[in-house]
Amino acid sequence: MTRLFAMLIASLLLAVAAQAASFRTEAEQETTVRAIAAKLRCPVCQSENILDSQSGTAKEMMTILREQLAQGRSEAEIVEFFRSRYGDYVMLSPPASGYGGLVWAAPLLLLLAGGGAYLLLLRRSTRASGALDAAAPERSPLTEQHLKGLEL
Amino acid sequence: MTALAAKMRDTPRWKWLLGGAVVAIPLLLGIGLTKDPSFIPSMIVGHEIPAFELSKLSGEGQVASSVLVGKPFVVNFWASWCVSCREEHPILIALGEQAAHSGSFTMVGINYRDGRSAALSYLDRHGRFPYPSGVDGRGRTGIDFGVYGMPETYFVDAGGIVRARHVGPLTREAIVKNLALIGAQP
Repeated sequence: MTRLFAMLIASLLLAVAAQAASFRTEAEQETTVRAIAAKLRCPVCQSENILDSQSGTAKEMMTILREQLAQGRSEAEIVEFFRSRYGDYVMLSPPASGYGGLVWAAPLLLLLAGGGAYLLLLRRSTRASGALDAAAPERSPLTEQHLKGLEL
Repeated sequence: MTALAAKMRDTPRWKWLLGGAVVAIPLLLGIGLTKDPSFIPSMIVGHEIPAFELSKLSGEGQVASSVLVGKPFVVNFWASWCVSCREEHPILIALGEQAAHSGSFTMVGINYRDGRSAALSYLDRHGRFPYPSGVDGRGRTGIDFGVYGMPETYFVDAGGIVRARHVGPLTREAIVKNLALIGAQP
C-alpha cells in the first residue's frame, strides 16, 4: 500500500516537472519569437516592427515566424526568408554588408574626416603663429620696461 | 577677368569647402524629398515567379502559376477594401478583354486578404473581370511576392520570370511599357 502510494506521488511529481519543463520551453520560444519579430519591419507600416504592428500582413508574418521556428529553422534562415521577399527594407537595422554598410560606416568616416580637418587646421595655425614669432622684431627697450613693470 | 581669377586663387581652401557643403547638402536633401520613403524595391523582378495555387473566387477549380507559365501573363493583386483599386478597375477590365482578344498574354487576379462575399459584391458593383481571380485570404501569396501596397501588378514573361512590378493603380502608359517587356502585344 505504501509502495503504491509512493509510486503515485512519484508519477505525479514527474508529471508536474514535465509540465513545468514544457512551460519553460514555450516561454523560451516566445522570447525568441519576440526577439526576431522586433528586428523585422512591417512592410505595410511606417517604421514599425511586426511585433508591435496590428496590421494583417504583420500578424501573418508573425504566424510564419512561429511556424518556421517550430520547424527548427534558425534566426538567420527566417530573416533570409523575409529578406528574399522584401529586401533589406524588412530589417529595421540595415545589414552591415553591401550598401547597408555605408549607413554604418558613414558616421565613423565623417568623424574621421572632421577630426582630420580639425587637426590639419590646428597644425597650420600653430605653424603660422610660430612663423609670426620668428619674424617678430626684437622687443624694444620700451616693451622690456613695460614687461618689467608688469612683473613688479 | 584676371582680377576675378586672382580673387578665386586667393580664396582660402576652407572657404571653397564650406561653400561646396552649403550647396551640396541642401541639394542632397532636396533630392531626398523627391523620393518616396515608403517605396520598397521589388526582390522578385528578374527572378522566377513565386509558385502559387489558389482556389478561384467564383466557380470551381484553381488559379495556379504552373498552368500560366509558358505564355506571358499579368498578375494583379486587388481587394474590395483597397480604395485605389477602384481607380484601375475599368483599366483592368479593358486589359482582360485585350488579353482574351489578342491571345498573346493571359491575365489573372489575386484577391488579397479579403472576404469572399465582400469581394464578390465589390465585383457586382464595379463589374466582373473577364479573367479568374485566386483567393489569397491570409496573404501568404502576397508575402511571397513581397506585396506591400495595393494594388500591385506583376508582368511575367513566357519563361515565368517576373519582368516588372507596378505599384498603385495601373495606367495605360505602364501597361504599354510593361507588356513590351514580357513579349506581349498590347
